[in-house]
Amino acid sequence: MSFLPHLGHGVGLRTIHYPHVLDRTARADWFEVISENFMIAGGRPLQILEKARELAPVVLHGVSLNIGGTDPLREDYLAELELLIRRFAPAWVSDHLCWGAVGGRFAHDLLPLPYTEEAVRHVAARIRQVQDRLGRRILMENVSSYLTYSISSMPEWVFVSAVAEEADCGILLDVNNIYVSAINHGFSPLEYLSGIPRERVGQIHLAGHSSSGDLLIDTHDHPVPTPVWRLYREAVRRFGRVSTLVEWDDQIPPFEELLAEANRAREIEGEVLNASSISL
Amino acid sequence: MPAPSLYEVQRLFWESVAVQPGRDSIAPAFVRLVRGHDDNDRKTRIGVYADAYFLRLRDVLREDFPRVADLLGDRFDEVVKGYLEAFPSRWPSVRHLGHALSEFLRHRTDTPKCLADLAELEWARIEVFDAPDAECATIEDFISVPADAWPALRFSAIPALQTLRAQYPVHRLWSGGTSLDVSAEETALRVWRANDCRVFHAPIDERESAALRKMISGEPFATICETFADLPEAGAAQESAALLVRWIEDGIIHRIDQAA
Repeated sequence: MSFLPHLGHGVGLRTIHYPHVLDRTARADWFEVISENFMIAGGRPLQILEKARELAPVVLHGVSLNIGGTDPLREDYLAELELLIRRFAPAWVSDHLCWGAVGGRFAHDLLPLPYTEEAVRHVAARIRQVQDRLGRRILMENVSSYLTYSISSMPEWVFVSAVAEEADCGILLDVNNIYVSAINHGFSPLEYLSGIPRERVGQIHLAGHSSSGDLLIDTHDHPVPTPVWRLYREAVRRFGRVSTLVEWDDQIPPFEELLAEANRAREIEGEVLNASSISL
Repeated sequence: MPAPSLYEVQRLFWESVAVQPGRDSIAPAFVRLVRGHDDNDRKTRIGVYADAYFLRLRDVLREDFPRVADLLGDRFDEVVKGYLEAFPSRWPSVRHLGHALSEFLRHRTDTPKCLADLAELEWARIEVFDAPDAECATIEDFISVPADAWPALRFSAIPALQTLRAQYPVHRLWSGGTSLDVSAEETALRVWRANDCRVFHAPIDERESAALRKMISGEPFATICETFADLPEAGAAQESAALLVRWIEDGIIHRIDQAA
């Protein structure tokens, strides 16, 4: 996306990595942090984030905007997000294309929306409201899901694209989520990729998952598996050079191992783009 | 039949995964809204979210209340289910989830009373951990105070300081083993965050408790010293000075104000 810088290949910064930030060995192209973890008055996490910023650009990634919810957007949440933006000057801000609260109660989960015209209009209007409030465009991420609704009237990729177009926001394309949902719901991940508008994709996520019975679960507790790397190659072919980030949230390995995953993404991007330029 | 509104879909979803945390309350109307080979498949898919809701929030509470969880053992899950029904999360940040666990435990008749006090201590540690930052006064700040200014000297505490009054010696429960066999014993504690961001708590005696209340409410040093008025004069001065040095070393005094 033209309004975003290309940051390279980064990693999700988690508590276990804080010592590497303090001794300045956390050498990644960029860091993504969970916005809500820093919506606090003071203490160590905010100090660590200040130090992380000295090492590499930082991006704020939220999990509780509840953009697809039917409760009013929480002004207190937006005010806290705005404070974080002012203090840490993130390269961009993102959240998830889902819902997570109803009747003032939060599930703290990324719950799927029905893919309907009503939902497109509803979510796009709320994204515009957030963008107006923050004075910047944001990125919305496709979530993994374990159920779909009988009332949905369009495939997920059409829904994601329609929301992004109508809201004029960017897309954070999670390649692992596409793969997980493709297996869980039986659609083609390649068809998904080809249905997403190139110019809207501002970031790519990579992660691992696990399986439970017939379903894949987006657990972020494994290395990026081979089918997701394969799909990432296709994503690079379609979207070109896009800032990419590896997420790892449970059973988190040593920082070096996480960084190795980010470096592998860089190598794959290089291979794909070099091959493309040779074939031209 | 018209398609349910977005709100109705979400209300049914919530009822199916969170009203009774776990898989026990999947609404038939919601099952009909979900695509699947059959009802078993649909319920399995909904169940992933029901399980995730409970397990995720249970893990958050386990992390925030590690000693309460240890001491409850296998009963922790059942307590968490009851808590989530009574106090579902009302904040976008999950950091606030455990705000009422102490109150919840205090009103239960089937869990030991001391656990409510222990939960209060563990929650105070969370609140102190991310309380606002503040500079701490140092010994050097005090050295520069002229002798005749001391009686009128006032202090302000750092925001990352809390005091608790418990019915049980919860500091022993916090650092002890897995036994809940503890007798009631009124206990005052202070909980604070040190300069290096580590969180501490310590029991305090009645004198320190009273002196700390006076310090926090902005009483002058002379009034704080009155806490030791029942001691011989030399002993009172020594005790007051020792207490002040301890507070300075622990980093709980934010600022000193000399009267104009």
